[in-house]
Amino acid sequence: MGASGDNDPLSPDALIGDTHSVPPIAGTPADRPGGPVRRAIHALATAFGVLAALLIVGIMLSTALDVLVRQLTGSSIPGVVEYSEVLLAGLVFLGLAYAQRTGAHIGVDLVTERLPVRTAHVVRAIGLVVVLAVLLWTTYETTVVAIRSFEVGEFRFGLVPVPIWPVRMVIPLGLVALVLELALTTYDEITGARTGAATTRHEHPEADSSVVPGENGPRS
Amino acid sequence: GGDSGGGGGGGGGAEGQSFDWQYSNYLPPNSSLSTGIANYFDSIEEQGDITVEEFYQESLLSATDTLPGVAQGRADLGFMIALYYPGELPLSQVVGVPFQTDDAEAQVRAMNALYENNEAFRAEYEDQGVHVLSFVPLAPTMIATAEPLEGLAGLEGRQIRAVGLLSQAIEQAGASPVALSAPEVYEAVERGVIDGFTSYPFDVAVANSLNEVASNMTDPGTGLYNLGALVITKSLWDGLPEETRQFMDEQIDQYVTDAIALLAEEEERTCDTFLEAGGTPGVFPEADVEEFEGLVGDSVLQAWQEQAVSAGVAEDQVDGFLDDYQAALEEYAADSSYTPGLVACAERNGN
Amino acid sequence: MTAGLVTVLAVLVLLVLLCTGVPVAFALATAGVLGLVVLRGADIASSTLGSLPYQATAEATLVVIPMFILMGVLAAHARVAEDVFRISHRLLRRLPGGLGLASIAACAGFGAVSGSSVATTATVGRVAIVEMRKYGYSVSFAAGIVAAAGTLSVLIPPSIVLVIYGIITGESIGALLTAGIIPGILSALVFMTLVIIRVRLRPAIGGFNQAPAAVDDGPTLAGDRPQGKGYAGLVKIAVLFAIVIGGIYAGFFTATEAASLGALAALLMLLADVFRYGPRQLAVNLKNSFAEAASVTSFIFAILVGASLFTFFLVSAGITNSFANWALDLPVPPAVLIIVLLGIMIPLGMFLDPISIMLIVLPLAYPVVTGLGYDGIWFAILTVKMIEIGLITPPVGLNVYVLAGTPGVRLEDAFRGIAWFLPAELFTTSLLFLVPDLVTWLPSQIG
Ligand code: NA
Ligand code: NA
Repeated sequence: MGASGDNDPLSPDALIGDTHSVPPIAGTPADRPGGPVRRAIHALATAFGVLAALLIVGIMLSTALDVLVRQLTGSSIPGVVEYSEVLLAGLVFLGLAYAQRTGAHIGVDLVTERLPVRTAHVVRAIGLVVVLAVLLWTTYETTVVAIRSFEVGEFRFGLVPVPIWPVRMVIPLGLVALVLELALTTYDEITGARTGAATTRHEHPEADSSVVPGENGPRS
Repeated sequence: GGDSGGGGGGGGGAEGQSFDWQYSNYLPPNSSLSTGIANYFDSIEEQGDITVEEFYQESLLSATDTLPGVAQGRADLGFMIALYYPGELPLSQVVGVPFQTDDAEAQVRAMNALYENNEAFRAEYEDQGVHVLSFVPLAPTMIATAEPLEGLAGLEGRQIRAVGLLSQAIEQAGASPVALSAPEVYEAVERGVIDGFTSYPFDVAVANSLNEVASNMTDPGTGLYNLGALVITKSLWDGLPEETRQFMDEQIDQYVTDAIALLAEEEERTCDTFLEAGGTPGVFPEADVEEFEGLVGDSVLQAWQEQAVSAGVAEDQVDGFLDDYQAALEEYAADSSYTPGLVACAERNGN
Repeated sequence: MTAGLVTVLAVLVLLVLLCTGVPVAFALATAGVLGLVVLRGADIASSTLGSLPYQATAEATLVVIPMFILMGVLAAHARVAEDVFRISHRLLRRLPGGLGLASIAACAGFGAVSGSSVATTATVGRVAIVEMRKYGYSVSFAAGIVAAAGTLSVLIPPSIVLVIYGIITGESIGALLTAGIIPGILSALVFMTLVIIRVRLRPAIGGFNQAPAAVDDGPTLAGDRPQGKGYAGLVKIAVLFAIVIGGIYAGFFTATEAASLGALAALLMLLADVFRYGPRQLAVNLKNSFAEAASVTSFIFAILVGASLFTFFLVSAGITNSFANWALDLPVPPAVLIIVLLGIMIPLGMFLDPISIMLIVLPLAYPVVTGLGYDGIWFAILTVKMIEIGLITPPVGLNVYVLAGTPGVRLEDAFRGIAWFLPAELFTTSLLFLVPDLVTWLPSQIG
């Protein structure tokens, strides 16, 4: 038992892919081919997730600072509202892959749970392939929009002109990371359909709040 | 139900062709502006085999998504405002320069004429993928405040929500411009987060019940600040039969006349509502307007020119457009009888 | 193909995809896009896919959502739920079902700093269920109490669901949040009454007068963590609630500003815990909080984008316009129409999450409700009650799923325990339906 970080999705252990941190998957880590690929995909999701978290904290701090400055001097910091709005669009797409990896995107297990294991894997794989196709299409279309936005130097109206194109570019990047995570899950489902291995599931991260990773930690 | 008939265009004008269009307007259907456009649709529906399905209040496209949405054909027609697209429509932003005109009729007729005659201006819309059927009159802005606003000096130190070039102007008058999205304005004034707001016409502000929280509405003399446009997907327009385009254009002059009359009526009704609800209409004293204009000087105009150039419009095109715009404003002002509703309202109230 | 036929097709695609277990957000997006392709052609579908992801998310009013999420996770890691539970237990332990009542109080208390019902259920559940079982409560009764009381979090402000209602309909977010307070307290009292009655009738399920029985190990209050009497948690909740709801109510801040300040205050509270738990634990808690906030934010916005795509298809197919006209012309009393509109949300709640339900139903229902002259804020609270019921009914009952992760609690137990709370929810909802003042009075006092 590690002292801390057993449930920590950002820990190095989690990155390497122990059973705590991998998405629904078949077989043991040893059975899984393409270890480095898996690690790279998870690393991308985590890196984007960290960026998303930093942006949330950044928006919180700048908004709080804006209130403080306004109370003290009577005028707002120009651009806080505009930048928050634009950054919000970026951070939610940066976090998509990480949310997928930590099991945040909720699906309905009702039907697949009642199917024989192999059939369930096949059904899930089919659903995932259809969704992947639409997400790839979305990635392509948002890329086209991003390139055009960059070419015209698109910006948002307000007190301060905020360039939009960087966020327009972040959207397809976040989608690429999500597509990779989902492709990995799909691959695992297909492998599972062959081997008939059971699926391990994640808890929704909102259920994690009360988990106290350091329960048996240093102070005890 | 909406099987899209004319979407995508390229039809080539076969006889007896029918059109089934979807139109997006982010405002509610009962505003005078919406009524004016709906009346225009009635007139073209009578002449051609056209059906327009109307969507209001952002149910089809959001306010800021209207230009790209119509350009891409997600709606066939749309009402949009220039203020939301500073990057895409740099020349149109000239309407945000204060102290140009408060004559909504002259402005719309001038812009409609420029759309025909000034290539750079027309290209601004066509490059985005839309064709402008007509510009749409909007009332001048006012400054609404919770506390009475007697004149220019009253702006000193006030926190005022503002948008675009207008925020520069009120900053020069000593106010602190605050960026807030339109839906947040009501509560922000109610709770005293801000002292008031501008970048809002009189009729729309009262229609949105903003007078409940800011009962003092004052015309600062800055005039018009925004420009509306009724647009159609360019590829759809280009693919329409010549005769269809022709009768759609022929109705525009009547539309502008109607729209101005409707706006004036609406502003008069707005005045009734406003006064009944205990609102105080006001105008800045002439000396204050002059002082305000002096303070602002050419700074906002220059800011507009710089923005247009940095958006990629050639400098001589910017200057040429400005000359054409000012000349056209003067020309059409001669035949216009429009008086801003708030100014009339203040007179009625005996101020 | 007619618009109606395409709509039926898209809904079928949606249901089939949901059955394969793909995330709800992606299923909604896929069904919406396929519908658009058939209805309006591939070009329109392409341009919608290109522009909608940005349009649906870059919205200043939405910034409040990640701020509420962040505040909630930080408060959870600052252990305020445990503290409230401990205090309530001390105060209520003499009453029948005292631990059950304390669990409800802890859900209501934590609900005052958390915007999400799932987070509240999970946070309180981990502590409360183990403790109730130790005192001999039946598993299903304990799980039912927490799953039902966890829904109080969407009613008691802050509430992400109410914020999204405000964004979809344009109702004032401050007024909506305030409107949830009285119905939230009322719901908690009804739940408490039910617990007392149940334990009176069958003392065994509430373990009344039983000595603590040995149950399997798990994180418990009697664990080895340092702990005070729990007043710290109460103070923290009071401070956060005063900043957020007090700040909005008194007019110091906009909703977004209040939420950001609340999150900052919760962060400072967590940082202060360094004295209680040491720097290492602090670092872990911080990292987990931020990671969770990012995950949950993206999850919620994925649904927002997916549901917006589906809704754009429905609107574009003319379904919304024709629905409103059709409903308003129906020869039934308006009250019946409202009940039907609310009722629709219960079967939807069997498959969809709260945000998807609102994004799909409100564009149809809200114009009808206000068109009939009803109050939009009143309807918001009734909508939330329907959504609460959706959160605890099978097959997709998020709150119940979350609890099934607690050691010793099976999904069947949890759903069985919930059955008793459904009539209580219907009772409270009827009361709010019949006495609108319970909802509208408090927000009318603002300003
Ligand atoms: Na709450
Ligand atoms: Na449910």
